[in-house]
Amino acid sequence: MTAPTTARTASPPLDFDALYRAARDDVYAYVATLLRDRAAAEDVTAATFERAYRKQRSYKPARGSKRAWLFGIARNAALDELRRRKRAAALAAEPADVEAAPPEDAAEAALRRAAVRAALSRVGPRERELIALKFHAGLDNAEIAAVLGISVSNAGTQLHRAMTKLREAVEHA
Amino acid sequence: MPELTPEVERELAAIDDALTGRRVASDLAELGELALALREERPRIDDGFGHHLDTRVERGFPGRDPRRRASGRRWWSGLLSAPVVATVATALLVAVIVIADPAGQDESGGGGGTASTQETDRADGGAATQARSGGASAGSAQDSSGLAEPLSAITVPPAPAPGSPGSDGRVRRQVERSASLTLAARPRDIDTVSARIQDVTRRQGGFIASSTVSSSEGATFRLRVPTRNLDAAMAELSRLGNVRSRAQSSRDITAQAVSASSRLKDARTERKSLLRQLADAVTLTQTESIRARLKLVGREIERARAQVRRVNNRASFSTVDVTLEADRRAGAPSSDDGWSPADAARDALRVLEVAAGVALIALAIVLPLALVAAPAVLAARWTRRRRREQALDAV
Repeated sequence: MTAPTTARTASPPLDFDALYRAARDDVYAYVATLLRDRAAAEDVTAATFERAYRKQRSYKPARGSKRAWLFGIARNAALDELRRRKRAAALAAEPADVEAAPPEDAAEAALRRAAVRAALSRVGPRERELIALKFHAGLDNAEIAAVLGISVSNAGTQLHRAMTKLREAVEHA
Repeated sequence: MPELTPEVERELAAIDDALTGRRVASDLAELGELALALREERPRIDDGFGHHLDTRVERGFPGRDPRRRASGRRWWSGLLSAPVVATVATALLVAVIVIADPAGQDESGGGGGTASTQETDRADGGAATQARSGGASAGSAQDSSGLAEPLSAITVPPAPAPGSPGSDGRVRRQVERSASLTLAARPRDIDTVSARIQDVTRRQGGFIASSTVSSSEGATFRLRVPTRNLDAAMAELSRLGNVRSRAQSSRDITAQAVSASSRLKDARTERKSLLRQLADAVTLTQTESIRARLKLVGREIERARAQVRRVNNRASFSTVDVTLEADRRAGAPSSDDGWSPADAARDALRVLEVAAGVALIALAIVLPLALVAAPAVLAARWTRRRRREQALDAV
């Protein structure tokens, strides 16, 4: 990944380039898991960073971490995309297999992955979002709470509940 | 929300331990493996898209993303751009100023201000006499000769007509001069400018023959200024406001002066002759006849003296008619001594007053709008958030 080093005219409280470098793949992973549509995920990822770039002066450190702020933008953009797809009656979710497993994987590992993928596709969107934020975007529980606008303990509770459902789905897969 | 139970906290900690590579308790090993498996399922970004996005970020997102599909951007979202908002706000502010600044409205308030009319004469004897006679004569002269007709510039006294007493140059020419001046000042400055007009008049050795001052509508003054100071007085008066019109005129009254002097001289000569005749008179009838004649001549001398004084007064004092008009768009009256620190303080205060007024008007408009708009904005945000959450649930 290249490291953009664009000179900015002013010195905002946010190092956008550093944030972009650190969060680009995480944002994409979160959005792709949520939308289950690779093309839409790319659009939303690009829109997220463009919005963040334009609104970087509105970032207030007192209101949360930079990553939480960025993922809040990504979440809104992703939900707007879901609304648009709903309006267009074109909700055509791609298979959850957004990354094909390498053929050389051991059979047991492949089975395990297939079970996890299947379980992921069966859990509800809210659980899937929590899992995406935790395991694909790499946010800690406090950042997840900030993105979802809930308390940290509530985020922990919901994450635990999502994991319980996922474990059950894996067992039944 | 209740606190997390110890069991939940332990499982969450196990997940974090697994993700960070730390050892997980054996009874939670399965959970740790699931956490790692989930992380392995993380979607990977396409290299082509990643490079494209890097380029756009590096260039600062110029223009529209050519790879971007048609978005759900609303048609009205462009209306909220900063230039549009600024334009609308400016138009609103201009409209407010226009509405709040009707032409001709008096700033002094109180339903038109106070008005006073006064006729002023000088109290001291000689000057009072001079003022009364001068004012009367000036008025009559104006009525009869049309002195009020404005001239575009100071006119040279007209050449004496052939055969006039001044045409041969043996008699000093007497010229009656008059002027009119129309000034404009802001309504609240009317009183100040009026006071300055009186100051200028006194400083130039003149006096106010009559004046009418209305704090809201303006003022009129009839000034009597020594003719030798007329130009200086006009210059000073012109600095007190915005000059709307200025005119001066002159009229040769040498003939009237010579005529009055001649009458006085003739009367005095006749009186001397009659006094000599009286001294030589023999009979009672002659004496009484001469005395009666002396009485008539004495009255004639008094009339001639008064006429001479009037003519001299007309020549030595000029009439200046000053009209002061109230105009909100007029500038502030200038100080006699240029721009002083006091003027600067007044200007600063005025700027603050205007700024406070504009802020108050803006507040009066914005506050009700905000009271109406705030719930609407909150409701819109709540609705949008709810719809987003519904969109997530509908997947």
